Amino acid sequence: MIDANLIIRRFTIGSCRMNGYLIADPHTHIGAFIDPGGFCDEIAGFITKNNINLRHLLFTHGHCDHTDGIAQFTQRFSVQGYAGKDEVRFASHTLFGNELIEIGNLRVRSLSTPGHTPGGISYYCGNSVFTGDALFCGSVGGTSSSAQAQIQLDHIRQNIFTLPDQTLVFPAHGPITTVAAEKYANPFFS
Amino acid sequence: MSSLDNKAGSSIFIQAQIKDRCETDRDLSFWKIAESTIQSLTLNNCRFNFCRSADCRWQNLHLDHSLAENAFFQNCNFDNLNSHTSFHTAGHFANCRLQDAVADLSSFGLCVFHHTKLHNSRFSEVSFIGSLWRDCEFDQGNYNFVRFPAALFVNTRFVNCNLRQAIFRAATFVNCRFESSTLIESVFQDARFTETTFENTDIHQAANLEGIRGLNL
Repeated sequence: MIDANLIIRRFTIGSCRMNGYLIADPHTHIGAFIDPGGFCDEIAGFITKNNINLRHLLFTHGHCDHTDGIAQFTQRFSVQGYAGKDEVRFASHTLFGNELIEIGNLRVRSLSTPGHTPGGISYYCGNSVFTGDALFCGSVGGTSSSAQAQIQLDHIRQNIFTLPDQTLVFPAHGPITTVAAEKYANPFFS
Repeated sequence: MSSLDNKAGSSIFIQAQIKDRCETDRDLSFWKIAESTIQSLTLNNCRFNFCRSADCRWQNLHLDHSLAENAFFQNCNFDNLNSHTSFHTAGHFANCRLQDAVADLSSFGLCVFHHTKLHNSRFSEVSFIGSLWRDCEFDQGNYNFVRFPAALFVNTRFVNCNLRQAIFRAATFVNCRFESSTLIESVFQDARFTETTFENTDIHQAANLEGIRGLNL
């Protein structure tokens, strides 16, 4: 019910204690895990309890804190990987932005959000967007140069801040937020 | 208990007693509740938007993966509010008191707090982005890595608070007061201060004071 259109569960995973998200179609229970930076009993328990058929791993980018759990997922589930170009070797599906990924009856749209890494991708589904390290509550991800920082801000403005204000934002680190809160109060965009 | 259920599924409670209620995967939006006591309400994966509450005592309100946006609370006391991965965005708290609240990885972004006191609260990685605080008090709280970017504080006091790693980037403080509080590794980048004082509190503990205005450091 946090999003009427999909099952969402946040987990704290990995040595960096990042946010990993399980999303699933409430009708078919086919699911995906966004940023598998680790695995834990809580994830296994939720999947079993809710009869989730996990088929997809979605990567916002290829940093190790977002990928360290790949082996643990692939040992347990038959999953396909999706990521931006040259981000994650495991990912057999390369995304550039604006692709639609079918997860049961769900349609997840990839959004290009480079800057933190060259092939950074955010994922938009239902009333929720998963921004990885591109957009945080009140902040943005670190970049290697001022040019990359500007690219990141531009893509967030174009692809995230154009979503409806009430869209829920789920970053890979720190608290959850909304498009309205970030668009109107994130100091990096003032 | 006095309650009226309407066709839209909303509920009206007047001088009601609600206890031991646990909901999962429900939409409980548009509650209107006055002069009531809620002894225990647990919401798992629920919607609780547009709640209108006046003169109520909320005890043991627990939210997990829930939406509680656009709420309005007036003259309400909250004891043991517990929020985990939940949205309280754009809520309004007037003349309220929150005691022993615990929250993590939740959002109170764009909320308005007026004449509200937080006592002995423990918040970690909670967002108050763009919030407004007028005539409020943070008393004996732990606000580790709590984020207040672009928040506006007017006539607000922080007393005996642990604000370690708290983020006040681009926040504005007008006639505020920090007393006996810890600011280790906090961030005040581009914050603005007017008539704000620090008593037994060292702002130089902050990790980032770049671009601040209105203080003679």
